[in-house]
Amino acid sequence: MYDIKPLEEKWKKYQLKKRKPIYWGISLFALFILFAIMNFSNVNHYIDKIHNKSIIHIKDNKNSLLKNNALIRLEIEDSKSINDEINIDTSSEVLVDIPILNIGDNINSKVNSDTINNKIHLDIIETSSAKAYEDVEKRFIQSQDIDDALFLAKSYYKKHNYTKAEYWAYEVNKLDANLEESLFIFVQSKVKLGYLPESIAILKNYIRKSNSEEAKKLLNKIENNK
Amino acid sequence: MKSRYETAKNVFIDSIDIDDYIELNSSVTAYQQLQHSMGKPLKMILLFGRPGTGKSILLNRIYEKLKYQKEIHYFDTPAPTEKEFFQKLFKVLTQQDLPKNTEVNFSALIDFCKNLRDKREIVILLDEAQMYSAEIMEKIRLLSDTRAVKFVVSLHKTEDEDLIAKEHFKSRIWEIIELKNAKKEDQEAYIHKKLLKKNLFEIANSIKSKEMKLIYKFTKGNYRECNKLMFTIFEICEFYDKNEPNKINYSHIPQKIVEMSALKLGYINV
Repeated sequence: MYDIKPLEEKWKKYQLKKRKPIYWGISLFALFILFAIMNFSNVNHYIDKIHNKSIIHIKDNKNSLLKNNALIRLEIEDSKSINDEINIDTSSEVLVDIPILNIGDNINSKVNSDTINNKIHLDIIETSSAKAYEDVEKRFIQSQDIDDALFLAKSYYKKHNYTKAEYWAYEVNKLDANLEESLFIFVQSKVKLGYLPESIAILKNYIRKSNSEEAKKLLNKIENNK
Repeated sequence: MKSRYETAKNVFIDSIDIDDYIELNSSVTAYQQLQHSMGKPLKMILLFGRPGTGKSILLNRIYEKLKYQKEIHYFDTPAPTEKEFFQKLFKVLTQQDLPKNTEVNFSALIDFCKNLRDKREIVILLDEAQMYSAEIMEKIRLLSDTRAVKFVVSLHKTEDEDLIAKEHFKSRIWEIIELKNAKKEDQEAYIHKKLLKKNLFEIANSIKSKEMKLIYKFTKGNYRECNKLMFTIFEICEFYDKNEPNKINYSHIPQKIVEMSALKLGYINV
């Protein structure tokens, strides 16, 4: 009788060989399941991101709503210039509503199409990211978009950065001298910075020209606070 | 002490002993076909099939069955030389030994056979005919043309040679009987009947359907391969029975042992 041990060893090896395709099958299936789970969680994460965290309103003439990824390439009315394409850092994830100054209920900036060729239909509602402000400032240098400047003026005023608020309100005024909202931010910033007489003089001068009721109310308010 | 598997093992020693013949549906058909062909006025009958399909045992069985009814002779192994073959044939035909230091005159043998026509009807069963030379086969053909001697030629050939063999005999033979490997059911019946013939009922019952399928898978229904595999299976069982009885289940021969046997015989490899 022969030695059975080598044959048993051989059989064990054969079993391993026989089961190899099964092991491979199980491994591939497990990998597939893992991949599917990971993919599913990524999709969920992406959906959450879109729905809950990073909504940005992109305003155009039709008041359309675009989502965060649309910011990669913002829609521009006139595509003549290379400046039409503006990159925005999409890593700024936290963008929420901006409660702006009490002056005027309409938070949407009006754009003077006569003065600005490359208009970005952007109404950034709120951001806590400092980088977002820098981006808007950089963008303004290229676009000279009144909406951007007004947004910065309002935002800085709200953040009690009156020097910057005064600067950006002045930039708006340079582009549209008739825009009351920027004038009011400019005047109020000056008040906050301690230039009260100068502020009152500017406001009175404007009331004379425009007879604006809103300007009168503001003047009254400033004087009363005095 | 003798293991119960030792007897079972010996059942599957490959032989053409008529006692080992197992009557299956397929073998009964082949037997009847051959017997029927031998009754016809044919000169040559070709029994054709791959090794291990049961040609030799069929020839042996027909010889044993008909030897008292017909003048039938079974040449189980080919003669090593032409001279020896004709010496053997001379004895069969003339019923005399060839005198020493003499050779058969083939022309005279042909004439002798012609004289036998309608007097005697001789059947010669030639097993392993693929081992005869072309010259001998040609002379066999000439002898069969006398119609006094009928040859049943059993051939097994490789796949490439199948057609050559058929072509060679096409014009000379009138009937070909081809034996094929067993079907699964036939092989299962073959194994059971072999064991039952030796009263090994319990062992026959310990080979379950799943293992039968595996045996068929490895042997592809070839009787010789089946005998080899079964012999090895019972050899391993015998070893365990004698040396490590805890490793063997007497009521069920496990797949492991079938696979080990297949590994040993090289049907499967690691």
